[in-house]
Amino acid sequence: MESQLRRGILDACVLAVLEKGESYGYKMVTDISEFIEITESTLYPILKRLEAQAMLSVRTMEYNGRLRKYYSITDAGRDRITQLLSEWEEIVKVYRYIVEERGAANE
Amino acid sequence: MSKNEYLAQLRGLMEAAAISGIDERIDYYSEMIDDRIEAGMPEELAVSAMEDINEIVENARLEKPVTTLIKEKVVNSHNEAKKKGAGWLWVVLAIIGFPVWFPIAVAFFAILLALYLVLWSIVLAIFCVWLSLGCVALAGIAGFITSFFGVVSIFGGFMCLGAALFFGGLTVLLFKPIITLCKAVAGMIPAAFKKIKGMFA
Repeated sequence: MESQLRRGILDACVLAVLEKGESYGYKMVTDISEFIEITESTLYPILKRLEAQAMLSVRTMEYNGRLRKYYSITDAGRDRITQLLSEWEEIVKVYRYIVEERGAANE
Repeated sequence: MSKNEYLAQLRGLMEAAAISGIDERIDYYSEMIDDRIEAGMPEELAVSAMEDINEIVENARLEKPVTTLIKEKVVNSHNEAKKKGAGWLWVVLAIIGFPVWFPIAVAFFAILLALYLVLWSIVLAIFCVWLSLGCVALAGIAGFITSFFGVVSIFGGFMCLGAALFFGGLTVLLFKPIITLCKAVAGMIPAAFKKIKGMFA
């Protein structure tokens, strides 16, 4: 998959997972892996970037005697999902057009 | 490998590659291993399920934009010179050497731009060669048709038809390999630029 497109999709996946509720690194990797391949080192810069853009917030909490970082979505993150979905609708329109044109050309 | 060994190796390689925010990254990977262990994996299995250390470091190196990587290289070089007590010499050389290093830097970026254009030109050229084969086939058909109106002899017309069939067949036959070749060359472009970026990381 083209890297820019993949990056956009992964951003949307992370935000969509967080929209369901607060989550942590390992859980996000396992949740997102069900739909698209993602590794720990791929997730890390995404989390940092989204945090820098104030699309998610981070808090460190004690869990079973150790520290764990919990991520939650912000309003800016929710707006980003809405924006990505509207952009995606345009992509789907183009996709349908290409498929139809191809079908017509093959007939 | 134990968790501590894995994290120590990771830290060592990150330090060698001058990655920023190492402590935070180590905490992140440590948390990942702990979560795997809590999910029921034995420590060794949890560590082996983690990503390859070299891959993690390589990805961390490539997170930064090229401009930041170059800036860091320059700052690091200055700091190293300072440590050796030659900070002033570094500044003097940077100023005196400006007429030399600046054109070299400009030339380097010009080469990068040229490389980018060349790779896309190859894609375009391959496609044009394939398209020209199709055009020859069309021209052959046109030649064959004109032979009925006496523009060329009947013999010449059949020669054109033969050529049209040959080149038309070649166009159809080469369609898939040409598309594959174009995709392969186009795929080389991001890979090549990732390698170039890696030079500054």
